[in-house]
Amino acid sequence: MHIPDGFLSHSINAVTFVISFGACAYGVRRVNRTFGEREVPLMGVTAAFVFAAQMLNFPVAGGTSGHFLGAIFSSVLLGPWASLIIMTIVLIVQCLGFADGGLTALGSNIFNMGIIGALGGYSIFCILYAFFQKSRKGFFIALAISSWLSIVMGASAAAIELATSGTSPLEIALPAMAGIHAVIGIGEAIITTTAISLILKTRPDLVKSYVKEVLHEKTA
Amino acid sequence: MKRRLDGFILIGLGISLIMALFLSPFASSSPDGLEKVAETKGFASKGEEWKFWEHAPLPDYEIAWIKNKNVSTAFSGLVGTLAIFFIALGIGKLIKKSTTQKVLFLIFLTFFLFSTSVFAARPLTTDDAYTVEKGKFQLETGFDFARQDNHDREFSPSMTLTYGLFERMDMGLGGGYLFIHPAEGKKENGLADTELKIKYRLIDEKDLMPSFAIAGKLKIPTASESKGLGSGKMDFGINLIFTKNLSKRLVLHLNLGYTFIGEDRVNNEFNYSVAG
Repeated sequence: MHIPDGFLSHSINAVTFVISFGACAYGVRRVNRTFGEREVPLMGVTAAFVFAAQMLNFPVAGGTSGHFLGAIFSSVLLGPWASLIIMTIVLIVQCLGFADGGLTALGSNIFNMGIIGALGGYSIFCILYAFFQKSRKGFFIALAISSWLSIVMGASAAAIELATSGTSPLEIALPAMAGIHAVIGIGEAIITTTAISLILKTRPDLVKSYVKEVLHEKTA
Repeated sequence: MKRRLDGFILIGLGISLIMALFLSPFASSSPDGLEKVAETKGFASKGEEWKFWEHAPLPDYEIAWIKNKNVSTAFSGLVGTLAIFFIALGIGKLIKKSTTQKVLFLIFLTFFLFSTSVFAARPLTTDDAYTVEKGKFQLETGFDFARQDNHDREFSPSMTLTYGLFERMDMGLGGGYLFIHPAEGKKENGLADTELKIKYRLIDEKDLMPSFAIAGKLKIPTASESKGLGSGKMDFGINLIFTKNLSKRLVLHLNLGYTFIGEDRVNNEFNYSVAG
């Protein structure tokens, strides 16, 4: 989903850059308030895991590959704002260090994967989790659906940017992008639920959103 | 109540490194979702028209000088994963700092990110992650002697003055004099290149964590180009420095550096060094 240089118009890149920069600045403030010394190394290891996992492209239908994004994975562990910052760090390093994703498209990539993927996806996770009355089963259903959606929504946002830039008309780009990423999203859902359930089994205290909701239940 | 994290961090980092090192060569090399759509819908060429950023040290997750593609991908994955871990850790620490410290760091970062000039002398020595105490000076002198295969000899006395600007940041200026005694031809001597270096210590050593500093270097071409003492071009380099006390007697320094070289004919350099 990493958009290279040349696909998007400068105005789209400028708008998404400003939005992404603002969101990151606000995210830093939020993280500053909520993070303790404990969360800092967790952020490092989560970012390292996300980067490594993003290298592992798995084949999907028709000679196409997809890879893990990790926006919901990081959000569930450390909160959506920390997840946005993790996505941003990973995207900047991928762009500057590995020429993966364009430098001019950096704002758009952060917007699609960090803002739409992490913030948007996590909002859906919260709504679904609440809908399922915060049961354990509901937690995993919400996790699977929101991680699938994080990919499909991010890809759709990319398609809209491509269309607005005049690269590919919306009626062609949107179904194509959403269609292929609906398949990639299944991989995302499987990896996210598997990884989170493993962490939940070994260190339930580290899954921030799960612990918080359980505490809510107890105090309520 | 709160359980220790070290184990989890180590296991998590271990899993990530194993994934990057051993699984990445087996990853599918088919185009990803967006690339495929770009190919089938006929706009893939738009991305090839121009590339804005051409200085990526490891483009497409490959290390240029490693010919074997799998090994190359594996090692670039390893480097990237480790780099991301320390960068995210550093940023996490930075987020917890005061606004003044953040601003100082940003100024420092801007210094080496937006400097258009670049640096040529290969850092021959391994740096440590310690910084000079605030308000204090440190003077280092050295004498280098090099004898090339063709019996050319070079002598260079040098001196570096470093000043502790802030508690965690120091700035140094180094220069020297260079004598070149070639096996054949005329002896030359003159001022060597001047190097300006700023080092910022991000993380102090604690438990398993090594201390970590980041340094930016600017080579000012004071050496004469016509006499063949220097390239006559500005070079710029970034160095990531890790220092870890393994025991009372053994200290390990790890440097990862990247240099943007001003001279057109010479490629940018990626260096690393380990010293005990």
